[in-house]
Amino acid sequence: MNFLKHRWNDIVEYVMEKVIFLAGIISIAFVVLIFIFLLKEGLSLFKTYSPFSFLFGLSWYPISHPPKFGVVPLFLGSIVVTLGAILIAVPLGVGAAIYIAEVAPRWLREILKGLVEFLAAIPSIVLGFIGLVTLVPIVKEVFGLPTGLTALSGAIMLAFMAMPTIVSIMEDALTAVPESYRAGAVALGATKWQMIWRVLLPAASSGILAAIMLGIGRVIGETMAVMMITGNAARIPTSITQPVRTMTATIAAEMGEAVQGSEHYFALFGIGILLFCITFLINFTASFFIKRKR
Amino acid sequence: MSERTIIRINHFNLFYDQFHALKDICLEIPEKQVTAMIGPSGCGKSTLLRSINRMNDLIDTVRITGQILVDDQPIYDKGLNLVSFRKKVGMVFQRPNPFPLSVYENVAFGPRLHMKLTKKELHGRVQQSLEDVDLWSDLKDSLDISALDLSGEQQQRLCIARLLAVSPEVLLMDEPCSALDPNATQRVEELIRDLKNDYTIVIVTHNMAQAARVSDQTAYFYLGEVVEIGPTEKIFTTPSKKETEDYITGRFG
Ligand SMILES: Nc1ncnc2c1ncn2[C@@H]1O[C@H](COP(=O)(O)OP(=O)(O)OP(=O)(O)O)[C@@H](O)[C@H]1O
Ligand SMILES: [Mg+2]
Repeated sequence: MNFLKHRWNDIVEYVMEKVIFLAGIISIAFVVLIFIFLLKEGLSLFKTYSPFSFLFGLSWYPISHPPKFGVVPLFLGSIVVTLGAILIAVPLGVGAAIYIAEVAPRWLREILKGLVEFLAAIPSIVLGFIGLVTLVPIVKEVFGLPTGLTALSGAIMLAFMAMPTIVSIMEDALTAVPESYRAGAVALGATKWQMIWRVLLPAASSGILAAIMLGIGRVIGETMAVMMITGNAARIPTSITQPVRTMTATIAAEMGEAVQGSEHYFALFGIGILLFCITFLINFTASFFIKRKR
Repeated sequence: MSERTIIRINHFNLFYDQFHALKDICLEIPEKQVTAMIGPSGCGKSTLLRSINRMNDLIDTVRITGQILVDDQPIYDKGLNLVSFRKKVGMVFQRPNPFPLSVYENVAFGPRLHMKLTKKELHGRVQQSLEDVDLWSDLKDSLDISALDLSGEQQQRLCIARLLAVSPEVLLMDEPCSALDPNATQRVEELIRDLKNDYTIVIVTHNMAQAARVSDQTAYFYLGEVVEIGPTEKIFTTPSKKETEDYITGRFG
């Protein structure tokens, strides 16, 4: 009996080990396959279209004759919207996190944390829709523009999407700073702000950096809501109050109409490769900084 | 030896909510001497120490009555400038708590808050403070390493240097050696005896031998009250209260 039980345990052990191994292999295989597929499809463009004109071409006219697949306007569109969002979200998010973690009285803190979680739970498409009917008219009005569908509207809305991530992770990082640092600073005669600025922020810096990077990650990957709100004009933006189109929005908008195996189709995959490289670079720098801090 | 009283505690009571933690404390602490506070766990030693530089302000449930005077200035008065007051009365904690900054930045922290110094003056102050705690020769070439990489003893010395850098008058120490090994403890005790020449020191300790070695005056606390206070030698040899004698012999025995 005992022998059988042993046997059974061994079998379970063996099977579990194999299953976990398989799961690991499969997930790695999928990543590799996706990457190969992306490369194969994207690089096919360069059989007929010069990589130089793709990377540095100033116009994106996929249905003109001959078509133009210059990615610069889309790239700049993404940059403008993303940078704008970061410039709004980081200071506001950092400020809000400091307020929640260090300044707000306890009852208010709980309410605010709840609100941040609520904001994080709103699906991005819903936020985009709300932005479309509220933010867009306001931007149009305030800046006296012909349309409110601009890079600025997109940036503001994306900032709202990134903020919950930034606030909640950074708030955790600040709360995790040992009480003894606070006591030490206060006992030396530091005011609350001096204590926060000179001790807490340096002490929590790797967490803060992680918060910001994850916020940026959220912003760069966002597609549908941005498509709804930025005006979708694949032009090189000269100001933040112009309509733009991002790389992600372009793929989403045109994938349906591009004929499979056509030059246009391959060009969209080319954008995919570019996006992949950018995201990879950001994650890489983020983990580099976070590791170095430790 | 000067006998000027620098800290005067007058009928001081402290409550945590309903709990009466300090009961009608009256104490005088002479300048440039070491005063030890001893007593069983939970009798309010740390609470009183924290009251002397108003660290209890950080706890919402605390209520106080009575007054504490430092240099004849009532510290619980509304008009008190807390920032410059805390510069005068510094605190060393039970667990060394250097900031997660470089050694240099830790010592420069106080001066940067309170003084307008040139780079050179600041450097001089950092050096002087580290010399005063015998860290300079060990650390002068590694001022930019993280203070968290130092040994426990070095960290505690650094925390003392951090206070000295703002030229305080009073150093409050709450079991400053309890996280250190016996050799380090002995060396920090020597440091405390040295510092006595320039600073008034109030030290809380559970180590009777330590109280006997470093202090001039000892106060015995029990359940939030001062049972007995007097010259250390007298408290340890011929205490006038039976409770004091029981506690001390019990702790030594
Ligand atoms: N923040 C607080 N809130 C409520 N009660 C507290 C608080 N801090 C301390 N007390 C209580 O006040 C009493 C005195 O505490 P205190 O820390 O001053 O004692 P102590 O003499 O320093 O003890 P120990 O020797 O263990 O450090 C204890 O009964 C403790 O439980
Ligand atoms: Mg204590």
